[in-house]
Amino acid sequence: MRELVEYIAKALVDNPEAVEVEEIEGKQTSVIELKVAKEDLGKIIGRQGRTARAMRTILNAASTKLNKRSVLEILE
Amino acid sequence: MEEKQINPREFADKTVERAIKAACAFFKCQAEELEINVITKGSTGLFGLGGRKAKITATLKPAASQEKRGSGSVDQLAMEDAEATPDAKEAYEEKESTTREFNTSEARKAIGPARGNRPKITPEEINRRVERARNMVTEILEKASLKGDVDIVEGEHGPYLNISGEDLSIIIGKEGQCLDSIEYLVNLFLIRQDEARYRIKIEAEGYREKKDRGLVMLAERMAQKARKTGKPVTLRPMDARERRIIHITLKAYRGIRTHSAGEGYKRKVVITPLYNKGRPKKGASR
Repeated sequence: MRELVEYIAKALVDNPEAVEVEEIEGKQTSVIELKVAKEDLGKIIGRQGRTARAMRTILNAASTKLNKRSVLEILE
Repeated sequence: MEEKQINPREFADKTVERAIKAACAFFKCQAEELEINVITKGSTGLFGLGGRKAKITATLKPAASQEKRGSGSVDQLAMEDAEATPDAKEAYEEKESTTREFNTSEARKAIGPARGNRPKITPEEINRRVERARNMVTEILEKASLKGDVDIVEGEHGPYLNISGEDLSIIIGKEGQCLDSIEYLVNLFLIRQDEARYRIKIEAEGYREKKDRGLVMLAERMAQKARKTGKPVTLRPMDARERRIIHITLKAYRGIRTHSAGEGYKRKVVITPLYNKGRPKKGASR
């Protein structure tokens, strides 16, 4: 899950080396925290949050397969 | 044919513009090529009650009078063509039906390049992109631990990707949301890599095609509903591609008009009937 978010995020930003992803696993729900360079924040969120929404949708699909839930948090 | 050009014909409709449109349809030509006399302007009345029709008479202008104006590019081309022969008027009338079509498309070609400022994309570039897109989708699926095979398919409008495999239903997602997300992200990656645009479509074993057919059916059903009830019908929020399908389906549909309303992902298509229930207007062309 962590790898998935990292892969997508690195492909979208200008500073891939600044991408940090952390996964906090719970019993059922895991929280994935994504940190990017300040100037890349807009790219990760997208117009009207479209990119962030797309990432969350794919993340949810991946979690469904594992019978889990995931929450993507984008940290400022 | 000869008669049509000489005798003025009368046209009546709700508004002068619509009457002119009807005249254009009758003579199969542009409004500029008609000699138009407005007899009555017509009024819509109060709340559509007690309206009067607009009346006009229209005649096709002879070629000679076009020479003097020579304003529109289409007219000008037709005119130049006619001038090349000794008896301009006769030649113009003779060739009218064939020449005009030809000249219109010529004129369009002349306008064409000015609009498209995007860099052209070569077939090799397209293939490279599709290949890159395929690797990305494969990577995403793998990292999401979803089992799916990605193949490149040669479609009618160029190559696209097809996903198949065990986890297809998860990959498609609710209402195709997940598939849309993958498609959106992959195209976003590609745009970031170079400027020229070529959207890569991702299909899932005919899922999109089936959904598009459903949209066409929905469009027709809702258009009938709008026409029957005389009330506008608002469809569910759709993305640009879906809205486009609705608009295209209903473009030639009589008695209704479509437009989109709302912002962002909440944008919806509204189908508006052109007249109220029980009062169909005679001679309304659309």
